[in-house]
Amino acid sequence: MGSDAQPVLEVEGLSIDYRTEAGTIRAVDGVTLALRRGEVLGLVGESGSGKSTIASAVIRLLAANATVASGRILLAGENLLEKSEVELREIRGNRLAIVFQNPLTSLTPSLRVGEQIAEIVRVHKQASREAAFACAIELLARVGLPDPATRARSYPHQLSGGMQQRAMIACALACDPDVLIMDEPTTALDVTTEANILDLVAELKQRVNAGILYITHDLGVVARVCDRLAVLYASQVVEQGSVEELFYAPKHPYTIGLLASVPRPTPARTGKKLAAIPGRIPTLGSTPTSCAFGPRCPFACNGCEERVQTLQAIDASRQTRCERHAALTGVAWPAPVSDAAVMPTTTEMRVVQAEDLTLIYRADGWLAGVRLARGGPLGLRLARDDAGVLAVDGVSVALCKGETLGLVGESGSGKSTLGRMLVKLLDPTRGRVLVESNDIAQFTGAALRACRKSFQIVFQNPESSLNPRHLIADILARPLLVHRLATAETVAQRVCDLLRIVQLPIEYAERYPHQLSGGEKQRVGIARAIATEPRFIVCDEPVTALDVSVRASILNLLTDLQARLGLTYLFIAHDLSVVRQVADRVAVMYLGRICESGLVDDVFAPPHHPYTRALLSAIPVPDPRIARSARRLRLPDPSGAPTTWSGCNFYDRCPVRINGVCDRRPPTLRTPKAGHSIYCHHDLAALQAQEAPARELARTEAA
Amino acid sequence: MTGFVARRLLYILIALWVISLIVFSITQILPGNVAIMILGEHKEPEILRALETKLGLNDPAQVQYMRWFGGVLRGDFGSSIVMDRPVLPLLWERLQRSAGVAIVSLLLTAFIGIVLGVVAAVRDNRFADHFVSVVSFLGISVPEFFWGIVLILLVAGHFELLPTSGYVELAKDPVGWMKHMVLPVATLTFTLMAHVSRLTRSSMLDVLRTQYVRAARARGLPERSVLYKHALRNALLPTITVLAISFGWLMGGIVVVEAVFAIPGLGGLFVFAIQQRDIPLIQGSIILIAASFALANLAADLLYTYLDPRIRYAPA
Amino acid sequence: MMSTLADIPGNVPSRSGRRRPTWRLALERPTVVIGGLTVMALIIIAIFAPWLVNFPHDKFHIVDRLLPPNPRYWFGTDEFGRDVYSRVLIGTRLSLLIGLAATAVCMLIGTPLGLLVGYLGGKIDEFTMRALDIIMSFPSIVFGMLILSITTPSATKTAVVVGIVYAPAIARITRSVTLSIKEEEYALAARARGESHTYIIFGEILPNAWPPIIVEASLRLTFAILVAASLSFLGFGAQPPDTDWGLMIADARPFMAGSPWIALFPGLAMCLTVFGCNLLGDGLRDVLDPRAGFSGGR
Repeated sequence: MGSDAQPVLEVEGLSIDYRTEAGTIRAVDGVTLALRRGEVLGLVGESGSGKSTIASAVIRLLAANATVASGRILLAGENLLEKSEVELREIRGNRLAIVFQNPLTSLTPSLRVGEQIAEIVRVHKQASREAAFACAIELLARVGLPDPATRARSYPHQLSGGMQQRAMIACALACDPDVLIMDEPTTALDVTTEANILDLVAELKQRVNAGILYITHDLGVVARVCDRLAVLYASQVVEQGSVEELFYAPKHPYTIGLLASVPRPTPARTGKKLAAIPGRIPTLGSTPTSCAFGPRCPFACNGCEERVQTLQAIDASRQTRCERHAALTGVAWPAPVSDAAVMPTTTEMRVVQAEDLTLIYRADGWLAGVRLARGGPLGLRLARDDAGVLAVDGVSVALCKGETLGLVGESGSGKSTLGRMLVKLLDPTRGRVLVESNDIAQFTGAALRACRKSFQIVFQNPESSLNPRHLIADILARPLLVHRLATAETVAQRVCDLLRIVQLPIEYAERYPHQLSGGEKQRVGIARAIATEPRFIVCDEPVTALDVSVRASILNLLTDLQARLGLTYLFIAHDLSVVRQVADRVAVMYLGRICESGLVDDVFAPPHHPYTRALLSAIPVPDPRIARSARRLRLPDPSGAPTTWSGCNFYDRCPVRINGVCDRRPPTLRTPKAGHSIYCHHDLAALQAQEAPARELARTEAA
Repeated sequence: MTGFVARRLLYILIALWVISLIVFSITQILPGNVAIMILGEHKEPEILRALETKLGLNDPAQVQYMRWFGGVLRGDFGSSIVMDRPVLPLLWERLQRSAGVAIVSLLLTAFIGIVLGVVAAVRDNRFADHFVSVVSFLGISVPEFFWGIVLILLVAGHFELLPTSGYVELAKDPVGWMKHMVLPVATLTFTLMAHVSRLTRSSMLDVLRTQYVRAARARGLPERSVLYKHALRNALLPTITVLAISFGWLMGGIVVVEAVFAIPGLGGLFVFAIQQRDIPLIQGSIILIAASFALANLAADLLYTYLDPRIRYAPA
Repeated sequence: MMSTLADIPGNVPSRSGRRRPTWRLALERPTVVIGGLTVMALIIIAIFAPWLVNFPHDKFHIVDRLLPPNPRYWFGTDEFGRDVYSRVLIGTRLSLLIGLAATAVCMLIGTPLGLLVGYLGGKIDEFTMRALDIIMSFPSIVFGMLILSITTPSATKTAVVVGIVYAPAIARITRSVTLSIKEEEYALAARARGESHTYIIFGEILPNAWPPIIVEASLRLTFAILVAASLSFLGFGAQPPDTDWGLMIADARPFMAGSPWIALFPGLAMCLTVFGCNLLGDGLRDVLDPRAGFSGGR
């Protein structure tokens, strides 16, 4: 659908302040955007960029302590900021709709899904109950929900995440809006489900006559669905233009840095390190007094970081907030410094081994699972379900010294559970974890202490991995004292050493966790893990909860430490690109079982197992040409129902399943070469004959 | 959902049984025993021992317990020593009197408390909210026996509108019954309603801040619909729990209120039983109180289950 | 997933300077200030009561019995001619003491129990919580009376019994917060490095657990004062010749029609006390744990 000349949504010079305990904070500073019908405008930013605030401002549902300091928001020429509440209620849901990030918390739990959609139609179009409900079912079908009539009568909690988000999109489309705002709609979803929703958004762009404002922090998503893009950094727009222009010829150091530091599924593998953006996202103050990106910019010169930067137009639709943009054409971000002298070496020595590990979560309570059933003397009797969730099912892995084993999977795959079993935070229901042929479950006393010392874990969420009531110095001192690696006199010095190793200033020892940024807290978490001089560290999604611009530097830190200290890593992630970057070997998990494992290049290029193929093709690649041209392997959304068959876990979603075989027997082990295992009923020839995804073709072209 | 109900029922039965054990144990520790109470303080030891043996008081504790509990299951709660009447009919007669005050108070509490709580939450920080805050604050800060006394002073002392004590049978004299009910019900309701309204307000405020209420507003739904259709039903769920807990408090309050207003109900009987150390009466009263409380809790649970689709339709 | 803390409106972490200390935030709220001042005034009265009275509180002035408030006897006199004002002041001691003692008892029993049970989890947790649920399901006055019936009642025993009756409520909230903190990643990190159970409970969990516990304790304090007064009123609490407000009101009942002041002033004093404690508790709740208040009833 072609774009109209007149933008349907215009934001002009919007500035929004928040009143907080720390004073007035300018969350949005002079932002100007234009959205046309039939076009998808991406709004990219990290935390503190103000992107969600802009969305809240457009629908006029800002928090109580927020005020619009200046600017206008025009919907087809009318200023929304001047409208009364009554007028706004007519516009919301009708001409202007929004889809929020977390669908489960955005749908009213006590109302049926169809009713929530029908209500919108009734209110805005004065339709009858029957007509509105019929309309709701039709909308659910339009957004690709299977069996829409049944789903319309379901409650939100009965649907899976992907289905809930489709229902939310149906709500938004109910009255055929002029503007559709999507606020990180796929952030809370698994990558395969996300890919389906992105396909839906791309379809909608064709069929619906609305302008779509798509807010995200993920460059891959932007490359997939957006036409134009505005990059936000610390409350300001730093660059704006078409997606091709920004991805292939960026003109602001931040954009250049982001594109350079984002891991890609087909990296040019020169060592494991990524180009990283140093420093951290600035704390917002009242108004910017210098270049917001200055402290982190490697291209700053002539004092340009001291000066306030303004938005400069390069041509009709292209803007950037950097006075040196002309000099930046074609300039690459500084390459990562690889310490060639210290290369990680992998040996044959096994550090830890998991043998047929199984973990079943049982519901709590001795009365759990009790229910009424038919039969017995009174016609009713008490029966008991032997319910349990099979989180990890017969997994065997081994890790050799110095290597990084990547563990990849979506939610429910059991990867975190497996990681925790390896460091003895969870006890397996069956199976063993072996260290030098000794079962760690039998360890007590000195052996247990040694185990605790040499196996450590880095957690995912920096907000909750550090005790908020402890000083950083105490947090780092504890492991040293517990394992007698330092005495009360020497511990202060050791803490400073640790801080230096993770590149944090020594003054941080006297601070509390809330005074550190997310990336800094994660560095403390890493310092705490290496404090006991371990041999093996489980990194449980260490960068997932961090801002994009900070991830690369943390990944580089982990790689450095591995080389310097001879560590072995189990690197758990759901992001295949990250795993591809840092891991030597990889294991792909699905619903508690491993489907494929082997060297990274063997598993990913080309992928064999149908799930690995689907995962790889689902990753949003931060490259518009590839993202749009790739032939995608579509998986149906998970239904959320537990498995009721006894064969391969992947049976219900597998595009190449064999009825009668895949649901009856567990998959067979195939070994194309030593160390590469695939669990599938199809034989090797069939697996290898599958089409190579377009992505791989692109890589061979580029290489 | 049937599993949920089954589990609750099972649990309640076990709880009642445990309570019977506790109550029995406590009454075993009571100084004196049934025989002494029947014969009085100063009887020869032989007669005392003979009576004790006849009454089975020298049997081991388990046997005595089984005997008593067996009786309870058959409906025989023994005989009150002081009043020399079977316990169960006595309890039942008194229960009917207390029930009137209790039920009316509970209904009024639920209605007024929830309405006030919702109003206060919706008009957060405005006059209505502050007014409700002050009123409910008074309600939770003043002991109900003092309220009762104040009401008596005001009403009877100055205005002499209503009777301040005693009880009249509903069947015989409905108007008189109502007149006698006004003050006790007012006393109980005021305090209970204060707690319920505070908690309803808090729960409603929580719900109004949720993402789904925000999303409902973002769809342009009229505020009325957002409040009553989307928010209220979810806010009421914790309120049901509170009402169930209030039932327990209500029974405690009944004891005090019946003392203040001289109503010959279950509460008064319980106080009397404890003062007199009338063991069978104490045991019977406790079982009855526990059973009513358990039933009220079960009703609350069922209501909760019915209202919360997350329990009713657990994910398949 | 991604932590977008700064995208939450208004919730921008202060990266420089320390977080404003809790007591600072607390003092800015009027409820805390007024409540706190009231409670402090009451404590001062309780301590210095013997020096603040006009007459010895137990002295009979038979000649002046049943006098309404007048310049000599500010609150009037009771049936024995005792100065009601002096008795009310002295009564502050017992009433506050019983309330505070009961709260102390219930914290002493409930907090360690909740910590232990929450930390150990599993069957112990479930069994204990069911048992506590059963105890909590009883109206507190009824339960209190039942236990007090075993022995001759007195003020001290009342305090202890009320403490026992309310301990399950504290245990429950402590257990609940322990359960949630136990699964926080910093607690898991402590386990991963081999800390002892004692350290994890007292070094990692308790420092983060005390806000909801304090909030619950403040709630229990007000309930304790009210329940103790009710028990005294019914005759199961403080006994003569103790001077206790509940007892005073009970004794004044026969004289209500003619001499209401005998019951009125102790009652008003009690209201003031509970009022102050409630204000303080409310204020603390807002500061420490704005979403508290859903635990058991009275």
